[in-house]
Amino acid sequence: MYVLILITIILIITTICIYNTMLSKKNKLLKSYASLDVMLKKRYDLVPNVVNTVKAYAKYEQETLEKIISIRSRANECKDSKDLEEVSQNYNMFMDDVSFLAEQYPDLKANTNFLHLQKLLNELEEQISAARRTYNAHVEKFNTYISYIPLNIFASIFKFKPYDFFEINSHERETKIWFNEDEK
Amino acid sequence: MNKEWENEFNIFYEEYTGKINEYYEEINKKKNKTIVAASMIIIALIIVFLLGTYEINNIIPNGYILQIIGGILIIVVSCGAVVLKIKQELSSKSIDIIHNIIKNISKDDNCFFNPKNRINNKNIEEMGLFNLNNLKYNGRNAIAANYNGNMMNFADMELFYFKDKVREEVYYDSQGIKHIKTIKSKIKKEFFSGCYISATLNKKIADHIYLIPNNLKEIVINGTINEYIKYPGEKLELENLEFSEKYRVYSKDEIQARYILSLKLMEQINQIDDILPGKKYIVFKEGRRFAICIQDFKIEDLKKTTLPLNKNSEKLKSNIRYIYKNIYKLFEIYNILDLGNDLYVNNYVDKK
Repeated sequence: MYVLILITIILIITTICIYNTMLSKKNKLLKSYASLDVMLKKRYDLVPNVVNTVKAYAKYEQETLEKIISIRSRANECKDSKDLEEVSQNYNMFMDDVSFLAEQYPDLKANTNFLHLQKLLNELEEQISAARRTYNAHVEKFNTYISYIPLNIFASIFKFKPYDFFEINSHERETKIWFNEDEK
Repeated sequence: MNKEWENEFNIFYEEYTGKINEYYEEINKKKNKTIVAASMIIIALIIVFLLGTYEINNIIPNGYILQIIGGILIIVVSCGAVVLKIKQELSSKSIDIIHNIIKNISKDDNCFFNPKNRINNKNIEEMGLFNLNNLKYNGRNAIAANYNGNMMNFADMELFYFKDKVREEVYYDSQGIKHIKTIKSKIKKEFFSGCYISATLNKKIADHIYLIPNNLKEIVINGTINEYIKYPGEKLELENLEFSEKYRVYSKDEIQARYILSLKLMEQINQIDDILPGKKYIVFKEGRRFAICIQDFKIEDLKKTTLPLNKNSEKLKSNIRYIYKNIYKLFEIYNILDLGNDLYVNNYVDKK
């Protein structure tokens, strides 16, 4: 009888420990996701500034402008890493357009405001990359942890599901960094 | 390390030949003076010796043998003193040579080199890596040079601690009773001996990031690592396997640590091993400065590479070449870590 009680107590304590570890790993993961999200939004907040600077030099079509505005609004509505990836892809396409324009208009390339934005965005890109690496490292830790036997049984009982990695899309891989001639 | 240094060295050596000739002229003058002084002392001593041993000849049969041995000893000791004096002179020139090499590599005429100076305690404390409460710090050979707009600092650094040693000694008193005496002594143990390098990083850091060498098993086994090294924050696992095998990274802010330790920088830090092997402790300090402490590389060792006695020997060029190569290695940190090639460097003005 006592043995049974002891086994039950050990099982309960083990379950609590496993649950707490899973929860702590999940929280770390969510925290890193939140940081990534903040940085990405910070990047999209700079989009209107880029547009304003570029506008003075190049004429934008109405359709392009709408597309740009939608990037920012969609960035604020993102719910998961998939959404963020999609917005990120649109953002990169927009930046490629800006890069192309900068090549066409040398005055724009030399504009102090534009150069400042360029530096700011480059630094943000590096911070985003760091945040993405952090997020992916936590995803890897969490996913590995919940797939161990017998932890996977506990994970399914407590409904802990594996998270998706924040992948660099193929477009981003190809273009690497926008409008910085030295880095190309 | 690329072979660029070799070309730079050849140009330096050609330009420096005149200065080397001056060194040897100066040394020769001193050498001649020393020889004259030594000869006079020898003659004086021999005269005194001869007068003294005249009496010995009357007391000891074959006293002249003693005279000869004494005379030879005086000559050998005097010649030894002359050579030693010249070597000291040559050694003092090494400091001048090192200073000129630093000037040549950094292109900074105002560069600073003082063999007696060290990095001050405050700087070491600010680095926050070594626990100076338990470690004693000693240093010398401080160098400060502006290299491509980056203020580089180098210095020899030694960290050591004293370990208590207790031994028992058995002795017997006058009545033959056995006593055991406990003798306590302290043994000096080296913790780190090498070179300190600091430079300005092209990214701003809000908190410290620590890179501790992974091969610290011996200290971990002894359980003393916590006493000597500080590493606040969580241990991070980074993507570069080679880097992770070499270093343990600690930081309170994981995202920031990954921002600083980009994939590129990790590879660059790995590359430092190609030119400066040895255990490395790296700290990215709050602000923009960072420091690398490299075990077993010392500027003091370069000072020991003196000029040869003979000016025309091949050893002269090879010795200067050796010093040049090693100082170049220190500055190569700037190139390996690509400290100049960044958009933000040009716009950064250090308010300090």
